[in-house]
Amino acid sequence: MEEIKSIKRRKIVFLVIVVFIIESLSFLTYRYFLSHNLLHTNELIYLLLIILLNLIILSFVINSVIQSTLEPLKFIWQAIVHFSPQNDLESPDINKLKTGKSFMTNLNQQLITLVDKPIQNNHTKDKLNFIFNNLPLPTLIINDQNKIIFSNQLFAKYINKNLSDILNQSLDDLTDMIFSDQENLENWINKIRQKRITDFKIFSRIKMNIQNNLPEKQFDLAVYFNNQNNYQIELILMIIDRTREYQQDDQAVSYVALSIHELRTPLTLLRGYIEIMKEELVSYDNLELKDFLVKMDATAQQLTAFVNNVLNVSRIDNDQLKLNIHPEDWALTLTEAIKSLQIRALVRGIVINLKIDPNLPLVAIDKISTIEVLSNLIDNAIKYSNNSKVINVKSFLNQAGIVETIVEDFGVGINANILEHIFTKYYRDHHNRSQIGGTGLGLYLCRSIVQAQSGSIWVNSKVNQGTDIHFTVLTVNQFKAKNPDFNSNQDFTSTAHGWIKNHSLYRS
Amino acid sequence: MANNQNKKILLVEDEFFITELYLRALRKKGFQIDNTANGLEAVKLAKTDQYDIIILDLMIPGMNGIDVLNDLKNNYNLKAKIIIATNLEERKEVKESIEKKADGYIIKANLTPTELAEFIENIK
Repeated sequence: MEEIKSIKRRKIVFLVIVVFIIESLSFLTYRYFLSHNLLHTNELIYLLLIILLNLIILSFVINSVIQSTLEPLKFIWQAIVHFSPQNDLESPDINKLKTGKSFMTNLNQQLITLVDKPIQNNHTKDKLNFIFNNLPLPTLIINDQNKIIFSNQLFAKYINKNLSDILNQSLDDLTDMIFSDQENLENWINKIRQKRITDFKIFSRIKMNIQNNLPEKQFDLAVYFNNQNNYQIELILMIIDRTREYQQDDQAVSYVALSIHELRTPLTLLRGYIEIMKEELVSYDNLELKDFLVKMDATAQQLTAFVNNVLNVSRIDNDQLKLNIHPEDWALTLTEAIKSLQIRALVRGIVINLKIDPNLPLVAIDKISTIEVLSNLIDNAIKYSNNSKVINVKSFLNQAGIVETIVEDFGVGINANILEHIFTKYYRDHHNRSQIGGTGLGLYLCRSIVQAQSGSIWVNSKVNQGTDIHFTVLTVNQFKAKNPDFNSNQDFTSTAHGWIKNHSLYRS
Repeated sequence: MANNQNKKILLVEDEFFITELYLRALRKKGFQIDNTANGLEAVKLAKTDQYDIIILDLMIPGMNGIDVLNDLKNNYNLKAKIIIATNLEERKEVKESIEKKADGYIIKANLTPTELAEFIENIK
């Protein structure tokens, strides 16, 4: 939006300058003609010149007016080109183009207004069909019974079905949408039904397998919600296909993951030999050598963490990240994890203070993955600590009765306007990107793991004061309540996109 | 530790450095260990049924680890528990065999040799 505003500002300044130059030229020409007594002989030329100049001004003005009027239509045009048989254009980004977003909201409202009689009426059906089938985006209307009451041809084509097979079906029966976030369409609707009359939301990076033999599709979903109309309409859904774009991202990670996999064996060996050297050096007096070895160990650990991050993100993208949820003692897990992570902080002169409230209940987590979450949060805290030499880790039962853990640093902090993006894949703060290294994968991974364990993660931060990242893990009972299939005595496997029951991979 | 001396382990691993590290860590725990880098040799040794635990790498010459696992589990009723040690956890066919046949599974990259030895020590 800022970008559009600044383009408009630039245009106005440009126009004012052009008008000023042209009018000055006109004035100077006039003076020239006057001073050389040419006006009476060359009046016609002068007049033509003035007309020409004013035509130029007019064309600029008209161009500018057309540009700003047509901006909302640009979105539709992009959509049309995108869905036409041979398109070379990326799909329109409704998040970036505010006009696109408001266009969709308006369109949805118009659709509801247009239906001036109950939807069973044939005339109304025809009218809606006409509008829908001329829309450039796959679109659906769903009623409050969760049944599809309208679909355009494009949607039918998108999911490779006949239009007649879609109507009166529920979306769940027709498609298998995998949401990238814990918040999916179903729980969003359940949440807003209680408190909103209308709402609008865009879900990003949804994956959908149409049929086994067809390639997977990836898209954004714009959803308009309205539960106060007489026409049974509750949801209007529009699909903005982004398969090509998102697949490129995923393939990039997959390729890197493939290469990085080869680092695992040498790294395992390196850590193995470091372990032996540490054991053997215990009786030696050379403190400097011991210090070097500790630093070597910390560096090898950091490299292992990085390799694991890339591999895990690749697994999330391919829906292969599996978490094996077991009941665990949280205080013990946290103490063990921090003990092994402490070395990375200590080599940089940073102390980690750990404070765990006594008597925390047993939690339901995948221990290895949760330690990876802590490892990422601690690594970030170290990286962004600047001159501060303390990191606090606190864990307690919060007011909602959930086990909450905070990793707090007193370093550079995060700008308020980017806070909401920091859990997004590849996102890096451009202010410090050139000074502090990173891949933009760590917090994305943390969020995926925490959410797959039915917990949540959030951040508070002030620039130059520090950052505290909070995350929750559920107690065994809370986890059972959310996931009735969970049985403490059996393996329960979760993926970043869903749950698999009684999946046994890590037996011992 | 004293208990470990009664446990006999067969380590099947072709990467020399890993063998060296694992042998050292396991011996420190008191285990008796034989080792081989070859799949065919592994089956020959395992058939004698003298081992309590077999640690089996998957990418080994002679006969690959999955074939060794299938052969031992299908054709011999051994007392040994077979633990797969690999970094290839993603491959579908690997997962399927491991889930069906193996008694345990470790990702080598996730464990240091000492941690592996502790893992083996805890197998009942």
